[in-house]
Parts: sequence; structure tokens; C-alpha cells
Amino acid sequence: MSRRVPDLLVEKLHLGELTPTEAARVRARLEADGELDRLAALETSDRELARRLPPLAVAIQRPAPTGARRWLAPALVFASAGLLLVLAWPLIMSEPSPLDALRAKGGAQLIIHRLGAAGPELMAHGQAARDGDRLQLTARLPAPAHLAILSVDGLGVVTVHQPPTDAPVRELQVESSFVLDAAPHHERFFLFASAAPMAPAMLVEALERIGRSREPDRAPALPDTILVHELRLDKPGPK
Amino acid sequence: MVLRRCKRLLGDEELALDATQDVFTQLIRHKERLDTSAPSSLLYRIATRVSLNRLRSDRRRRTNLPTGEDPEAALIQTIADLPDTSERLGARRLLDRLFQREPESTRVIAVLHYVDGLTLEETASEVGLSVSGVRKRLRGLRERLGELAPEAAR
Repeated sequence: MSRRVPDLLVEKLHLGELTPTEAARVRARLEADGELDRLAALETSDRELARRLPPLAVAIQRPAPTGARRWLAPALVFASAGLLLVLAWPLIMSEPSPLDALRAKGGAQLIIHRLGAAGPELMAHGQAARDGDRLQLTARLPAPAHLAILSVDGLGVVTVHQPPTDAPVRELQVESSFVLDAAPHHERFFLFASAAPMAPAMLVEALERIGRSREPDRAPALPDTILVHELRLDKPGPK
Repeated sequence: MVLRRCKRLLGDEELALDATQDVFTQLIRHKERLDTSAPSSLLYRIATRVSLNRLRSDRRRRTNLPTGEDPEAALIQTIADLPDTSERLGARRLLDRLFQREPESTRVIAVLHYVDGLTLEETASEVGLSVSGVRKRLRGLRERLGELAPEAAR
């Protein structure tokens, strides 16, 4: 009896990444095993994910993939489910506002609640948190702007909780909560706001740089057109 | 594909969604350097590695994971727990290494072969090693894996 066709080969056939010879061979194996329905199942799964998570696919593909990078589009559509955790669409949509207005009005807020059996607990800058804490992130701006929420942990690992929004928003709650892992020292959360759209890679790179830095309190180096607000949770080590 | 991969290894949709987020956070930064000829292979391997890391850290946090009832889950957890020097690399260095198409970690090789059922030849092709290279990497793991997957570890 032949081995079951590995999932990876079926995925590649589905994505059109096999050579014609390989594709024919894999298809023949599936047919011989009576498992052609695995291909159909992938198509169904893709459609279901795209239906559940369409906004993310749009958000992450910016700028639109072209030429040799066209593959990234379907890949990101398939992956969009993962990023649903960090995506919420604008609650309030209105005209873009200059960053100066944000600063003048002051008070960009990154609100973090720790979710527990006793109800949500509002976390303060510098408050202790621990591995396994479930956090809910909310951003609130004094004026509509493009915003994004990212964090960097004590190991320098960057997490995108909210990719930059396509449209200006005033308030946004990240749809799903976030569980702190065992990374030591701290988790530094950053709210980024800008009157213009922001490139996700620029924000990720800025946090990766401070993640590699020996200065634990270093601020991300970004254009001054981007307003940065930080809330750090400390993770005390074992006693 | 990435979500499906993470879900199969982690056995939980919420964890898989979280792991998928990790995979694509890395890709946002590195996408300019992706090998466009076979993106699914790279995505699959990164998703595998991220999921194994999740399983490993979860094991550290909770020692009584219910993997005993599911032989495949137990095998995946065992592989996740295996020592792997590449594990000490930071995420950045790891990704750098992957994008430069250097040999994949033994743990990922083990999952591709023992869990996914890729032949030695298919595994070698996926990870950019010779068949003998894959065989050599797996040799050291057989004894331990054999306890859980005697058929696969032959």
C-alpha cells in the first residue's frame, strides 16, 4: 500500500506550484487513493477563510503585489485567519486629520485590560504581568488617524496586534485578546498614529531595532509624522 | 495553507491563528527576500518551526498536555521537545538562515518525514539537503522517536 500523499504536496498542487510532471504524479496518486476530495477540501477551506477574514487580506497586501511577488496574495489570504486576532476595522470613520491636531488635542491612549475571572483589569504603564496573562488592547485617539498597535518582548520578538488601518479611525479595539508568552523582562506595546497610511514593515523594523538594542527603554526611530505612544508591562522573573 | 499547517500541529484553532500571526509578522519584514519559486515550501517550514516552538514553550508552562491519547500529537510534542541547537538562535537569525536556504533544523526535518509522511527524497528536496544528509540528521533521533513511532522511525 502506498503512503498517503503528504499534505504539503496537496497544498502545492492546489497552489499550482508543482511542475506539470509533478502535478500529474500527485494527482494520479490522489486519484488512485480515492482522495481527490482533499483538493476540493482545500478550495472550500480557502473560500471559508476568505469569507471570514476578507479585510485582513486587503490590509496586508498593501502595496498590491506585482510581478514575481504575486504569490504573496493567495498566501496572505490563506494566512489572514491568523491575523484576524490582531485586526479590527474602524469603529468610527471620518476625514483624515493632521498629526498636529492629534498632538494639540493630546491624549492618544493605548488601553490594556487584563482579562481574568474577576473581570477586566485596567493595566498601567510599568505594571507587572506574567506568562499566560490574557490581554485586550484598545486604541483611542483624540482625532481620527491611521493607527497600528505592535509590541516587542524582552527577547526582541515583534508582534503585530493591529496592522496599520487603511482609513483614519478614532477608536479601535483589537478584535481578539492576546496571551503573553514566557519571554522575559517586559512586553512593550506601542500605539502608532499618523495622518497618512503607514507601512507595516517600517514599524516592525523600528521595533526590531529596539529589540536588538542594549538600551531597554530606547524609543523606536520613526519619522516625526508618526505619533508614538507606549505602554510597557514588566515581567518580573521567578524569585 | 499556513493556518491549516499550524492547526494540524497545534491541534487548536486559536493557537493556530496566533502562530500564523507570528509567521506573517516575520514575512512582512522579509518578503523582499523570499524565493518566489517555491513560497509554499518556505511558508510551510516556517509555520512548522513556529508551531514547534509554541508546543515547546507550552510544555514548559503546562506539563500535563493531553497528548497521550493521540499518537500523532504525542509524536509532534516529542519532536518539539527535542534539543536543537538552532533553537538558540533568535528569530531574526533564524529567518536569515532560512531565507539563505541553509539546511533546516533537524526538528523540522523530523516532522516532515515522520509526521507528514514525506519520503526521504521529498524531505531532502524540501529542506535543501541530500538524502544522505537527511538520513544522517534523523539517525540521532530514531531511538527516541522509536518509542512513539516505531513504524515511522524505521
